[in-house]
Amino acid sequence: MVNIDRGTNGRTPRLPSLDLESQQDFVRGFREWMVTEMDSQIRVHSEELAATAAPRTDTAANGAVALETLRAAFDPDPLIASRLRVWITNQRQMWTGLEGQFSQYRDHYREELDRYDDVGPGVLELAPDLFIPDYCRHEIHIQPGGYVGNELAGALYHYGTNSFYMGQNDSDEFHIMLAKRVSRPEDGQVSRVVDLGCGIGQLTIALKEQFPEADVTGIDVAGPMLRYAHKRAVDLNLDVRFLQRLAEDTKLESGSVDLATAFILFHEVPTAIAREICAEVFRILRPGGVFDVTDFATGPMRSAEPPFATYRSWADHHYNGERWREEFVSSDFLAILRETGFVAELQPSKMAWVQPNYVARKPN
Amino acid sequence: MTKPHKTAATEFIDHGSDTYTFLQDPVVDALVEVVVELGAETWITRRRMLVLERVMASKGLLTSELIETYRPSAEEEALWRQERDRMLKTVYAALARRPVRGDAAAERAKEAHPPKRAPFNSTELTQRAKALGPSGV
Repeated sequence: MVNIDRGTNGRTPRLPSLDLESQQDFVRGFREWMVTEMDSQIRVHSEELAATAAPRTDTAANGAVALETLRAAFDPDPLIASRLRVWITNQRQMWTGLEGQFSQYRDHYREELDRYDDVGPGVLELAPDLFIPDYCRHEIHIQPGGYVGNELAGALYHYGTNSFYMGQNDSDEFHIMLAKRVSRPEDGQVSRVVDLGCGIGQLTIALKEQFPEADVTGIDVAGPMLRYAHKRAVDLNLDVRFLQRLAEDTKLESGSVDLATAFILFHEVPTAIAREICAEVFRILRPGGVFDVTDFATGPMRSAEPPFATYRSWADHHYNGERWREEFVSSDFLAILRETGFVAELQPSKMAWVQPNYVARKPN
Repeated sequence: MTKPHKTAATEFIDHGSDTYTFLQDPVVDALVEVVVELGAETWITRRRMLVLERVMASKGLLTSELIETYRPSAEEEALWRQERDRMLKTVYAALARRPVRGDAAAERAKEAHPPKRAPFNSTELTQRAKALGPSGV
């Protein structure tokens, strides 16, 4: 067997070769240049374009300039088109590099996942006959095969998002911070925690570290992501349960959960499913239980958004496989939580790039 | 016949991101991709050289004369050609793709799954599940 063990970066194994590590280092550097240097020009330029293109009356319901107006002004603009081009190129370069090399060592990763599937601590419960709805079969972030269609999706997602975070989350720093600051029931009782749409379990693991005595469960539809999540939890010697189930149909006992979390889950599902998930969480939470959601701003909250942010949100949806993002941000998620029965409020996000934090409490 | 491997992977919807065109001409898009790939290849090489020089200098093995006068063996030449060809394939892949006008690929993904569809219901889910068959392997 080929030796691809190059040590660790914090608590993450280093990538399997120096060349891939350097390629991803370039991806990170390029991304940083793009969102700082390039975007400093884009911001000024797009404000000027929007001011010229949009009459005062041409506004969407929330008071912002209508997307159609922005698209008419931005789509043909060479600087903005170049920004989209290099952004997607950067994304594709990130995935192509990772997938190319991970596929080269496919047997190694397969054996590794096989070896971990049935060992503890913790449990991995896959559901080979689970019906996977179409809405979650997309190549989110144009990740090859998406979360459900590539057996190495977990590793791809982990190292891809490490590059996306430009090195600031190599040891789950963001997820650990999120777990430390998570909203808790007013009585302080946290003995059962459920993380919905847990993916590779970065927040789930951080929650177990934050609440070591609690029974912590991660739920996701994507088997390949969960296999990787379980492997990570075993490596960290954490007793976490990972279940392949739908967030809208967890099959958990009613009133059995103290704290439920959903980190950047809701913009990956249609609004109808978002409503079902909220209803399911309301069912499984005990009275006084808390649902802590971190996701994008929706509906009325977007009125102060700069024009390029609105356009970029649409571009992320249209080009970057964020199939349900526009539907989510056009909804009023706070209202959905309240309509479900929660006492819900907004709090400043614990993470700068995702605003806000929705805190929903099940009434006593 | 090889036994299928248990992967927990299932069917997915291809977003077709390799066919996007943002600029006036698909070839211009391809050229931008080439330039970005070249940047990556340059940095990969430069970073490896930095590592190499540090390691060799720490062992007292590196002099500029050794580098300038080095003559590769026939085997090394063959390996380097393979490496060169890999780099060419990566850097110039965008120029070898058949371009698609507009963002047709993203539109195709949308047409396959229109956003205004009716909410899922259990009957529909069951019918679709039967049509697709087991999805866990």
